[in-house]
Amino acid sequence: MEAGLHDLADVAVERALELGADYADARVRSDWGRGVSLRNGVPDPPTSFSSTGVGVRVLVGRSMAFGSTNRLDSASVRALVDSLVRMASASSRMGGVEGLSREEASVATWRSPERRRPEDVDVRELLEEARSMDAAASSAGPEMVGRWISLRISCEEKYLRTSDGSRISSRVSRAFAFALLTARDGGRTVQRIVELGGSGGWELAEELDFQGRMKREASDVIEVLRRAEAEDLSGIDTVIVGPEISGIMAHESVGHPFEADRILGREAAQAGESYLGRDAVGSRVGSPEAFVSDDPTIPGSYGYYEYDEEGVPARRKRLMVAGVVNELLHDRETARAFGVRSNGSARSSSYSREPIPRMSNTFVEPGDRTLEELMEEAGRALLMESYMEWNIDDRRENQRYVGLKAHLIESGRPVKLVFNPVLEVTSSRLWSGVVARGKVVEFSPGTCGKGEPMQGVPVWFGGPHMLIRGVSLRRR
Amino acid sequence: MGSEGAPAIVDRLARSIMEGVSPEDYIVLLFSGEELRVKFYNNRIAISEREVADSARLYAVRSGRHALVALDDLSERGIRAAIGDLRAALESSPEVRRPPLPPPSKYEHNGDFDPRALEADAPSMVEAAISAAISGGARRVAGVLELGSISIHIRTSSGVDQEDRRSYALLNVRAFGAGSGGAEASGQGLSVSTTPRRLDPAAAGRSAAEISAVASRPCSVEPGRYDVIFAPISAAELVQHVGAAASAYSVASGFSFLEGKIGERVAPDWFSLIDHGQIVDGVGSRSFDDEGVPTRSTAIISGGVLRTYLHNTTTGAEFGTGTTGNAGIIEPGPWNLEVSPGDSSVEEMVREVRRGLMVTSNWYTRFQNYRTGDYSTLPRDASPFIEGGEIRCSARGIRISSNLLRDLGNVSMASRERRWVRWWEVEVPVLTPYVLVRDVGVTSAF
Repeated sequence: MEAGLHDLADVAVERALELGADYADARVRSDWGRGVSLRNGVPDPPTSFSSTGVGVRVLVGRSMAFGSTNRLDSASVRALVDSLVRMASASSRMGGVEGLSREEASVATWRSPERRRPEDVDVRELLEEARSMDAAASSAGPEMVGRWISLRISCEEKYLRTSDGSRISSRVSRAFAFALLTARDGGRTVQRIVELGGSGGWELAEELDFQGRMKREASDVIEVLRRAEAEDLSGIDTVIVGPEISGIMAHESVGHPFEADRILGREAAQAGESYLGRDAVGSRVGSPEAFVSDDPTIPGSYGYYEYDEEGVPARRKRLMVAGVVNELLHDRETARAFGVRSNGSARSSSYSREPIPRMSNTFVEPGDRTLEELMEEAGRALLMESYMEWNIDDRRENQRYVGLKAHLIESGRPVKLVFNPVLEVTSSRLWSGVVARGKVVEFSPGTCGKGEPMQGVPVWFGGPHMLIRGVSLRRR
Repeated sequence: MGSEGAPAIVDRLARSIMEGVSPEDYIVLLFSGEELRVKFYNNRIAISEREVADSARLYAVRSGRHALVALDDLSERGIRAAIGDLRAALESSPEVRRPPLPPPSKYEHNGDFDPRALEADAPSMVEAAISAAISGGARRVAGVLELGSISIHIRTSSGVDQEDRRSYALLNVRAFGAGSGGAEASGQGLSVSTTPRRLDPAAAGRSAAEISAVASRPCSVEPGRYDVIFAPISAAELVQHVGAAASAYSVASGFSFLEGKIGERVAPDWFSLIDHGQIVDGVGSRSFDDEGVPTRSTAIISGGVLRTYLHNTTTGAEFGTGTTGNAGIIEPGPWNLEVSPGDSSVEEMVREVRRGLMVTSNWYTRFQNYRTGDYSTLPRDASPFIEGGEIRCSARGIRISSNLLRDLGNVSMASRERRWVRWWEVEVPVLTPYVLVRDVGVTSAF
């Protein structure tokens, strides 16, 4: 990012203070990316995007206003700030912001490690990787009739200035792959969405083994197509979920309901609220084996950051410890409302979006078991490694995961692939039923949606294999 | 649009493409917009927002190679960088056959544009919605008001040079009232228009409170198969997935349960689903698509039969049908979807249900298989349980688990009354009646 652009954030904050704002922050942010996609091996036109703009937030009394512009001159930024202060003042009779928590000012520069900068990777190289992934998927079997594969590399550069003294410069690069695989044989069709990615440069394609993963995923899909059987699962009340599913459970059923703005009701008309109340910290929601954390500082993670969107240092947050609510996800606005300090969870997806509490990399913490030990312990159970369909209600209680690669377990070993098994469970039953956890945590990338307008932010979710009892299973 | 003005920026972008990549064909699309938003919860305003944005898309073809860049830094520096990306992409991408750009045509604007959309008194409109909901029994009210204005310019090497101006006003209100046993009950109301003059905040607030009152009498229902009336907010959420599945790109990518169904009966013979390029109060309206083709009305389903997918020139050539004016340069998609009305009142539809449900709103629809249409979705707010043609209570904690293709085939009634729906969970505007679908799977985790 050109140094001169930083001045625009300074101009914005100083103008807001001149006009009487109690607080202001501004970020200048540039996003750049390049992508390719293949439909059954045939490329679409390659795409790239670039975006640079200024986002400004002002607090006047109890009224907050946020605005953005990509007209990158001082006059336009000043005019934006003037309008924001007017807007905040105009809504003062209904302003509902108690203020922001007091935090230490930070002055820092950080970058995610990267060896091959996205800017140095051309379309030819991306297409070559996509074609190799396509070939890997095709080689799984003649039934692999549909392959849609997209690859994207991107970088995000930002300068954040707050009126209480924080000045943070940052750069984070990312690589991401998405594929929809379709296998068909006669009347049966099986589909699988594959997502791979993290923060870093194009070296991630090799480090995360995009081609090898595609081959394994495609082979799994073919196996399910050829061998999985619809099974009556009534009477089975035990499940071992794999890292992909323990991860999405941690994200959907702990991460989201632990977002403090949802608990306050700030997302009530959009992504919804929470099963937790304002006094939830210290209350039990799971078994002594239930541990969930959110950690933006994991090197190479898709949700990586070192300072949040309000200049607060990032740190690991242990959300659930031995089944007890330990900590919520806070930005400075919710921290003030709860009478605590921010734990650095403010994120925004673009210069044009307000910062709000978000997850980063949310995961079930590891336990002490091998998968073999978990299967021994489980008895007759279902081992569900991957899923396609999932959803959860807007208070984050009523959730469902429909398995893709799933085995019936008997006498400590997998005996049969099961077609489309359904795990439908409440959050309280799920986390109360956690009996044991595996040793090895694996992560999956995703784009988490929240906010209005919708803000998609990159996250990892993960966990170890996790043994859960007291659940109901059935076929779809 | 700053001091320079849109035509001058389009000139600059077109000149930059010509000088920077010497294309045989190009498209310049310029979007200049402003949006005001007021987000509120617990009867107070959380934040007021203003977004001023100019952005462009540049598409170029040279020696059979194609590339697309999107940019929103329209300074000399930003454009220079984007042209560099375009040139690099053209140099390193493979040759792909795509049809030539379409020539200019006759373009019409339906006149549905309010140049003063941004001048409305947003805080007062929010206050009116909250007051109406509270008068209707709500204890706390949340939502968002969005007022916007956008101009879209297109210039192509094939001679298209057009401007389109659109406005929109969207209000989403969710009301929370007292339920039984200390729990809260909720309901949602919407008002959707192309102008704040036709927005009705009080009606949206009242509607949210009325639905919330129904939810205040919760009950449990057994998992099973039920006849389900999807009220407009919920019907629209499902219809948008039918619209997405009708994109020829979705069909070709494996994301559609409509693959191979052209000419087949997929719904009752009175049912139609039409995509409108322009329609009054359709906030997705456009005069031309991203390739400069005039938009039109396209019957996706008529007489219950799937008639066509939605195409740009590329998918139109692939499928041998021609464009339907729905580009997306890469991916075609719907503008505004309209479901045909029925001839019943909502009361008559309820009386028709022996044992079933009404879903007033839903979210989080996910597919186990896009090709087959197997999906589930979560009702939220009130879900009236109907027995013997009468509403008894509001079903709590349910999930719809079904198949969208089968649901289309099982549509049996629709109301005369229709509503426009566009909100956080419904991105494509949909005009839809209440729709009764027979034999829908219902499950629950509780």
